[in-house]
Parts: sequence; C-alpha cells; structure tokens
Amino acid sequence: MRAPLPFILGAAALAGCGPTDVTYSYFAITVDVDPRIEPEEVRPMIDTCPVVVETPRGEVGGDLHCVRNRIGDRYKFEFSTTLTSGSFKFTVLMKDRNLKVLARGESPQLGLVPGQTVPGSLTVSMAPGVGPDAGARAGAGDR
Amino acid sequence: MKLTRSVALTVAVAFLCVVPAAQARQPLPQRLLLVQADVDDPPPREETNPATPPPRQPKPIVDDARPFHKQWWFWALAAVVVGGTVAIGVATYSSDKKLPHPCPADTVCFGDGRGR
Repeated sequence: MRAPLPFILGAAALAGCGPTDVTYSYFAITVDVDPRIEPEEVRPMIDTCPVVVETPRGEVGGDLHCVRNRIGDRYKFEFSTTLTSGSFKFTVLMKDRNLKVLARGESPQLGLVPGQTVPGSLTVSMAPGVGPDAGARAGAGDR
Repeated sequence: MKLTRSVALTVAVAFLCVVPAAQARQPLPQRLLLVQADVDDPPPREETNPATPPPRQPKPIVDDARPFHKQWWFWALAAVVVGGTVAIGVATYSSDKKLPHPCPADTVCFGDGRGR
C-alpha cells in the first residue's frame, strides 16, 4: 500500500513543473517611405528592405519583403517578443542589389507593455550620398 | 574485445536474474513438501509425564511469495508512472504550442513565435 505513494507524490510534483505560460507582447510599426526618394532613379534600385530590431536581448533581424520596382509608400510590420520589459528600437534599411544602403529610417526607443501591442512609426529617408544629385552635393560638401 | 566483455557481462547478469526467478517459480506443492520434509523428521521421543500435553504439530508454512508482476502494487506503480509521464507530456506539449496572435492583414510579422 505504501509503495506507490512516493511515486504518486513525485508524479504530482513533476506535473506542476511544466514551463510557465508564455506571454507575447507586440510592436506594430508603420513605415512611411519619404516621397522625396526619387521615384524614377532611386526606388527602382531598391532590392531588399531588412529590418533591424534592437532588443534588450540583442539584435533581431526581419524583412519587409519589399518587391523591386514596386516599392510602395507605406509598409506595416509587427514584431512579437516574449520579453516582459525593456525598450526596443526599429531600423528599416532599403538596399540595392549590392547591399548598398539607399534609404533608412529609425524609430525612437519604444517601451514594451506586457501582453499589449505598442504602436510606432518611422519614416525611411534617402541615405546621404544617394540620388542623382549626390555627386553635386558631395562636391559642395567638399568645398 | 569490448564485445566479448559485454556478452560475458550480459550472460552473467542474465544468469543472476534468471536463477532466483526460476527458484521462485518452483511449483508450490514441491516447495511445501520441502518444508514439510524438514518438519516431518520426528523429534526423539522422551518419556513424558502423561499430565503434560503432547507437543504441538508445527503448522505447514504457506508460501505466498508470488512473482512481483503478480503483485497489485506493481501494477499500481506502473499505472502511476505511465499516467504521470503522459500527464507531464501533455502539459509540456500544450505550453509549447502557445503561439502569438494571428498576423494582421497587409502586415509583415516576425519575432518570437514567428518566422524571421
């Protein structure tokens, strides 16, 4: 009669040792593409749109899945995390086929609200030295 | 060389396990006979006082040592172990299955619980 008792207690104890519930928190970021980015000269060169998220745990990568020659004016992405606190910063890059950064935009630091969705926005603007008059601007800067 | 040692060790362990089990499986009547044979040897008779009662006959020893797999507690133990393992597995599996909420329309989603 006594033999199974320790095993019953052990099994009951182990049953309560499962992983705790995971709580997801979210950031919903709206990305506006600066209309001053040359629609005919620069936008057709954009090939990839990676996203870099600076989290308390380190950097995490994502992608807007933008399509070459069909770069829109607005993108939305949602980032999920199981962290329960800390601030996050989002950077969107637009690169050409040679991975040269043509445009970039950064969000301010956004604080996480556990279990909730934090909205945010950023604007992607042309990177310095990019565009048809980049040479002229660079030359002016040299003087 | 290792294989030979392993085989020898396995045979030795099997022998140690089988012999006691075989002894335990000896038919009950035969074992009872063995016990009774020890008992049946009559003690040397002594002249006793008729007033004293005759010596009591020892009762035959009943051997109820059943193999462990015929004991109720063995199966209760097995049921608890199996049930506990299944319960733990189910609890762990259901926790791991928790996913983030569905991705909204026209939105790219990535991060924990989602592809990157």
